[in-house]
Amino acid sequence: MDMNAVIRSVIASGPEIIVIVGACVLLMVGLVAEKRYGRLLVGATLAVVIAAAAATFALAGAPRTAYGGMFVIDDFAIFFKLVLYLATGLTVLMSGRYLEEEAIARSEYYALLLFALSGMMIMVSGLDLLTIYVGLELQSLSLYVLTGFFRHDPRSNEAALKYIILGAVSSGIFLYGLSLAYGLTGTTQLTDMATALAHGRATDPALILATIFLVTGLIFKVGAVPFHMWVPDVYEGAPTTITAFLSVASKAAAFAIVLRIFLDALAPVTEIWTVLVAVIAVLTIALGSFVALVQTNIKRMLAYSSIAHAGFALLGLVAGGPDGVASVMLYLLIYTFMNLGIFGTVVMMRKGDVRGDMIADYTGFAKTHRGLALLMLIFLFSLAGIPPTAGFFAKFYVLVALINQGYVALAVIAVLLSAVAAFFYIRIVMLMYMREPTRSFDLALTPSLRLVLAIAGLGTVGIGILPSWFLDLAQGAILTVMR
Amino acid sequence: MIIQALAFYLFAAITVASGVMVISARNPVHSVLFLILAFFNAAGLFVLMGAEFLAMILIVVYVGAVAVLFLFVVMMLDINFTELRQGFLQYLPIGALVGIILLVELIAVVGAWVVAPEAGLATSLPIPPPDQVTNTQALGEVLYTKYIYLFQTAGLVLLVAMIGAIVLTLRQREGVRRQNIGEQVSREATVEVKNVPSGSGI
Repeated sequence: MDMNAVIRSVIASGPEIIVIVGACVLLMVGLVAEKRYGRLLVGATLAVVIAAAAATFALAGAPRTAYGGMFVIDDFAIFFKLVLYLATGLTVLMSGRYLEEEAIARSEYYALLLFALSGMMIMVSGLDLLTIYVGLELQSLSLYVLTGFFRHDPRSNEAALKYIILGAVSSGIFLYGLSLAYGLTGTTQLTDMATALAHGRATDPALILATIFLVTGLIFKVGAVPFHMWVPDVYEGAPTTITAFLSVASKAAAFAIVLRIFLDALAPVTEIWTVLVAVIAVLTIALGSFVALVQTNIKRMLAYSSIAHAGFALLGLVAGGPDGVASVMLYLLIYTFMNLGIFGTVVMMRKGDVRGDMIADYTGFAKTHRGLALLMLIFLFSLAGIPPTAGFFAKFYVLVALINQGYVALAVIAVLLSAVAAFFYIRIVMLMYMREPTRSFDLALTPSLRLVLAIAGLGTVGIGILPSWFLDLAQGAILTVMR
Repeated sequence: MIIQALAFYLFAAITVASGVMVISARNPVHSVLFLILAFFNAAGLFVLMGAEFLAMILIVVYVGAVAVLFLFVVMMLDINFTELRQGFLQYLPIGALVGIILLVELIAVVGAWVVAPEAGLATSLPIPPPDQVTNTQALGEVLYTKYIYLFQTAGLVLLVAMIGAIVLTLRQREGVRRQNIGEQVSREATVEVKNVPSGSGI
């Protein structure tokens, strides 16, 4: 590599470098800033995220590769990076007071959050299976630690242990698929792999096995059936802010690599994985929707709800083509807003001795807090997919993409199952509005948490009002190979 | 040539035999010791292949650090290994079923594997001849240029693992009498200056 290529590569990965350097600085700032802890760290983390976002905007334009084709910065990566910045920024804003309530306010929390963000950014920009894998490990490892951040809570310990063991197994399976794919194509670079597979026979047993291993490893990361077992336990045991981060950022990054690998490297052998992914998607929506019905803990319920949503987004992958990809991307953007909103309302219930993570804790909430209850109603309706909220359009565009590709039966099943899912969201609305309160509500509402709820509410309503503008945005950012 | 072949079979046989002993030894400390033996012989195999750098790394990292760490863990943690083995028979049928299915699949794959005739050419091209460059240098040349991005990111993974281990285990305990040299030598806390009126004492 000559000097110019080095400089170009460093500039292209500028946002990652900013986030990583920021994380290292935060680690050291935390040592000296004991006294004025919370605000300073939240401010510094936000500044790093905003600086990275500015650097990302500055890199927008024609797609360019760096580091010998291992790294790419295209509209697809930029779209996902912006979703990740949004999710990280809102999570950080939610965290300050919550960490104090839980007595886990430590500077490493923010540093690890930034390391997780950098891992996700590396995944999203990865154009090589190796880069994607290393980024995946970086984000997973940070998230394992954050999941176990309540050191004295057995539930948190159990969650972290389950997450790390199952995560390691799935990484192993993914690597096995990677090595088989490398053996078949002689490369780990995604576009070269697609070229090598252009003449591949879909009946080649080695190719089928490699694809199945890759599907298995990736399906685990998005939390779809039959590799969903870790999701409820991890979501319940982790600190609520981390659960929120896991459910949106980690999922968005995982979907970004799923789209890139399946629709770029494995695009020539579509017939191997389409049926497989379709079956997984339907089972995922069904299990997520039905099991969520009987949950009493709201974090567990939202875990099953996120499983169901992952299944819905997988249907967009089955549809494929520019429409399918754009629908998945829009889905993830909308899901970020509405899910962070609903987790914000879970975070605010935690104060003093009240855990506030049971569904029954919301009984009669609307009688005393009209505005907040209305906001929760919007988030829940959006998660259920009721118009005119954004959640409706998220599902709508996936269904349109499916029907355009001729998968009418899949679309019908998905609609029926989302009717089941609507029940458990609306049950909370019923509890809030139709019952008398059994206790007085003492909320841990800080200005920054109000800001999070306002941004999430604005996003959920705004995309519901102007869905076509945001769809155009997603369509302008689809994978280069699909144009 | 014959000596090389003999050395290969010696190292390979001991590696496999000690591998079997690792999983069949009753005493976990013996398992770890057999593991170390397996590492040494694998390093010997690397030397035979001309990969002296990997052989040294295997001994320095795996024998010197990883295996010793295993020994510490086995000896310091009070794990009841007979209790751990209780579930073994119970889960054996289902585990064996999964294993056999996977084995059959792998045999099917390897049986159908066809190597493209030009593949051998492609892989032998980028390697410089061994008499011109040592393999330590050859590794370094690609590791810090072509794969610098992966190398740095892997370093970050290790950094996060280290931070994580410290975050999850470090705790400030009450009542620990740790030596604080700064406090010990400082005159502020221990030496008191009194204004003594003359002729009266303290």
